[in-house]
Amino acid sequence: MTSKLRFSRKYFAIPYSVLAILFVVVPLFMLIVYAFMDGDGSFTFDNFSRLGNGEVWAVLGRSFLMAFLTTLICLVVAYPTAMILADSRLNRWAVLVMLFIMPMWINSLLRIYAVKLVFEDMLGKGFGLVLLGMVYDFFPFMLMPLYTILSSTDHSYYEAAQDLGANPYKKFVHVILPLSLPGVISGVLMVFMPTVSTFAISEILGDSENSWMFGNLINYNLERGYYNVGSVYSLVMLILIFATTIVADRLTGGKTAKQGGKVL
Amino acid sequence: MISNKFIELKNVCKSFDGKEVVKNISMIIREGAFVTLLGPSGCGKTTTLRMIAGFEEPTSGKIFLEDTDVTTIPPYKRPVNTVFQRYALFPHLSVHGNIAFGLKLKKIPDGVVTDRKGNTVQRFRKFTKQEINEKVERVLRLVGLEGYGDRHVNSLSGGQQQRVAIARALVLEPKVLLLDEPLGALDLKMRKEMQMELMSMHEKLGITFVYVTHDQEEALTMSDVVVVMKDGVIQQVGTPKQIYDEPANAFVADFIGESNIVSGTMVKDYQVRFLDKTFRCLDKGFNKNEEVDIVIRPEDVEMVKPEDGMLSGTVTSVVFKGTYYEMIVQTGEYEFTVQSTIGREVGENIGLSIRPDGIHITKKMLVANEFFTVMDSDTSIDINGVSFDVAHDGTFKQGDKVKATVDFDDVVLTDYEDEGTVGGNIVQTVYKGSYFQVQVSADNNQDFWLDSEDEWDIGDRVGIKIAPEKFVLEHLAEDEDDE
Repeated sequence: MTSKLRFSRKYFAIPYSVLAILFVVVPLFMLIVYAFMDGDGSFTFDNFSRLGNGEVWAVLGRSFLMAFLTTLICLVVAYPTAMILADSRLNRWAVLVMLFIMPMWINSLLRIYAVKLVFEDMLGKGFGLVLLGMVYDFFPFMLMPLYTILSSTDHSYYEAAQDLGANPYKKFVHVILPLSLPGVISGVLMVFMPTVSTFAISEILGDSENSWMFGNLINYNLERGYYNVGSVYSLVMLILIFATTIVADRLTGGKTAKQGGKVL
Repeated sequence: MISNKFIELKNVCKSFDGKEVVKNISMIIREGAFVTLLGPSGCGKTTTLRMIAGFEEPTSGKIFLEDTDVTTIPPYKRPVNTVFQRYALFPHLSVHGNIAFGLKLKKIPDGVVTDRKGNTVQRFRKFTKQEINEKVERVLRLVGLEGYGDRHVNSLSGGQQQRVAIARALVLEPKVLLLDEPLGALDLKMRKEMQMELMSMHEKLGITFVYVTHDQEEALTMSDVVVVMKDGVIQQVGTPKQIYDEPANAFVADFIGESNIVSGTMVKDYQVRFLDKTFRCLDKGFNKNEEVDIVIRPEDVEMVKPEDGMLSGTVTSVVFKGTYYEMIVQTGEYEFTVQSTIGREVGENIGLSIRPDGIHITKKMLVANEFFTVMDSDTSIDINGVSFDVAHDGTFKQGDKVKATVDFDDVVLTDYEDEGTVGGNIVQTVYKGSYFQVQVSADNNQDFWLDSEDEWDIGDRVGIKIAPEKFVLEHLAEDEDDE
């Protein structure tokens, strides 16, 4: 009986495996193949020579700056918000949490166009407006992991800190913050990674001067059929994101994956 | 060691969302004492402890520590430390880090200096790293965890975590150590060991321990003073021996150990009548013919030949409990629980004999429900917003202030709440040998007491019905209702 059951259970994994092969493994493979191929389909390292261009690195740097600022602003705004939401006295029926999550129900492109309509005349297209759109779009991804960890932390830790002589400030620094670190890291990852490779928001809210992002660069090449160069840029982005994940994982001793899973 | 009052609670009340959890508690804890707050869950014992620690602020009343009013002082400024129920050890810190947590925050006096204006100013400093290390080592030795400093707290067993929690509290040299059911999560053997260790620590350190538990055996074993609580009210304060031997009422007797509780009347000093027999006892000072509860511990009932006993009955059940037998003896209407090292056979007729010092007389908590209220019509009274029909000889009119009395026997419970005048929840039942004394908390926030032959489960929904003719009404003089 049990062996039969186990046997049949394996089949449940088939749909996902097919999807994963189709949309992850094959494109990744194609990405690598294209990166080492010239227009005629023969092997070459020429595509990588583009990386010698300082302009490319400047764009990449701008993408990282944008992602860093977005993440920082989200964190600074979301942390106190999450603390308030996690306090059951202030948020008795979790209605407030709903209010913060509700924008996620609407397609992000629609929201970005809404931002454009409202703020374009006020701020003008450019770096600032892109930043505003990014923060608005990704804020819930920072809030949720923070809210989850802060509301699930046993209050007796906080009481123990007070009991041992910690005033509210010390309690925050020595107990609340360190205990919420896995939530902070997973929030940072969930905001940083999609923002660093964004192109739609900067396309809609940016101008071509100071808000041309690395994602736009990749998109530009792919749209014009320069698949080989686009693949090289994508590969660079992929490696950088991969490195970021590993660093974050090291920082929390592998706890982020668990926390992120809980949130998703 | 035991000296003057050290912690004092004065008329302390605490409500959560309008629900009173602690009702007007006053008590004094003497320096160096080991005091246990004992009671069933929901009796307010933990809330009381949390108010002493500073985690909750009383709704009204005052708390004094060494004559200082600390009622509104936050926990981090109080010279008390707490051992939490589930330890609350910081998972991001090592054993050493946990214990050093409080030491690193602490400021200690560091001499006085004179400032430019000529005022003397008390200077403070923090502990040095070396001082902290020494203190941590010393307290780890005290709790028997030498060499565990570098361990991660999650790698420790429950008992070891408990010791770290105690060490973390003790290292700050508090004047009072508060313990909130600290042994609840440990297995029986470990618990017994920790009980002994806590007692020896208390003796060694000489500081005041305030301990919260629902385990009566734990309370009786460890404490100098036991405070028995129920429904947010202190039922009795006394030494473990006093609590066990002279329970103040049927609740305490029922809660502390096994007991037979019988209703009876005091014939006169040193003589009590129950189960249609008159017994000699050691109690006096009751009114003549006052109704009382008689508490008899199962081990105080002696089994003798049927003709030699003051009472006689039939054994209906025998259970071997490892070192003794527990037997139920049916005596007329009443079931006696008897403990003895000698087992009897089921169906055997035996006599029961009780020595005078085995008979404990307690004041009956209540014999009737009393309501001080007004007539809300010519034929009904208002009990906390609910109208009950009453029958009377026509001398009462709407608006009259009255005292209405209903005997416990005359309150009837119905299975369905809408069959009663008001619905309610069963809060407590005390078995009185042949019937249950039941407390019902009605939806109009009024407690009703009644005697019932049926067994009810705590939390059951019931309806409460009182026949109009069962109310005994008395006029209240206008000035009387102020008292």
